[in-house]
Amino acid sequence: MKHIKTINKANLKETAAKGGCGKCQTSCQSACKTSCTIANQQCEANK
Amino acid sequence: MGRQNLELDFFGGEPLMAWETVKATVDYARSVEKQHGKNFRFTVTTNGMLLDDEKIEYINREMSNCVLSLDGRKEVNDNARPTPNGKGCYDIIVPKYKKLVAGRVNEGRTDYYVRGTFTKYNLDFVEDVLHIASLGFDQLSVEPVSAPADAPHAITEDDLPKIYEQYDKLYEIMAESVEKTGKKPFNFFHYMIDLDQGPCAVKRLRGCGCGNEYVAVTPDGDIYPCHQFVGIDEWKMGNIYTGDVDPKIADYFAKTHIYSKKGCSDCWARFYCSGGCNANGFIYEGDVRTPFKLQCAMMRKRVECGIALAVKVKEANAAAEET
Repeated sequence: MKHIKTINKANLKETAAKGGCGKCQTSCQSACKTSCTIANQQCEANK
Repeated sequence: MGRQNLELDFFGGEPLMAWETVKATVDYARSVEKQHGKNFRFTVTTNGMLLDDEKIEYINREMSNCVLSLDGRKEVNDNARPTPNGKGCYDIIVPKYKKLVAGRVNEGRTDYYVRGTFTKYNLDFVEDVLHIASLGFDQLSVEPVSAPADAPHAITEDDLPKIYEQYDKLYEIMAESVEKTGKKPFNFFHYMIDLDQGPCAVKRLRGCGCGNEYVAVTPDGDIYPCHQFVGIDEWKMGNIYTGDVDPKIADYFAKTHIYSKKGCSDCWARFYCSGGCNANGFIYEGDVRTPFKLQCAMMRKRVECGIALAVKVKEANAAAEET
């Protein structure tokens, strides 16, 4: 029985190479005013 | 490198009290953005009291997101948000929010949040989340209050077991809906986690970007790293009228990231929260680079629930594709 399921592959290294373009939403806006979660934001580099 | 997307968030205080300023700012930006190759995105956060048809139409046309403050159940909301005559605002604002949101939903848009704050007075905040959802809203955010530790409504470490229980309960409710229908019943801001195409590593390292990608400007023109630092003299970066900007503060925040913050490098959630709120570190721990422990505890719980929910949704999507 397989106990560990891979639900997504690691991509941080790849994004480190081409990230940081600044197109995405600045983080502490909209719903969050004090409890910002970065991981829920969208990458907009390819839009 | 010039930035293409520029964001401006009107919040306060109550931005609708300065409606003519909001409109003049938006209209001016719209009149010049194309010639400069920019794309302005405006958001507004309002308590709803001054919303009327004209403002709703304008907000729905111009604002890429809007945040509508509502703390949940009528008694919870009205206790936290009294009007000058002592009555609460729930009955005034909810119909206005419904009208505003209907205007967006009719165009297939989901870019709004009905946002509440929970405090020590409503630690059963899942009831408030469910209440807001029962009103027909499906983009929700209910967040812990930021308050001085000795304030009666402040959340303290003693409250954590109850808060964990509530976050688990909310996860169970949302997960059950995913299992039954294949979809989340609503979006809960803190459980939204993009496991595939989320933010890049650079963004995850540097976090909120305050002091560099993001600043707050007060009505007097003073510039602060973010709204939470407003009024604290040592963090004043400059003033838009004099044109002075202190590069030292921007530089300090540029070097503030998960590898310069105490405790982050040992924390499994560091690439999800990216170091937490810098201002909260300063206000509650006395140091920007020391994350606020209480916030960290709640953040880890939310990330845990968010990941679990994302997995549920993935599994439901995979099952749907197989059939």
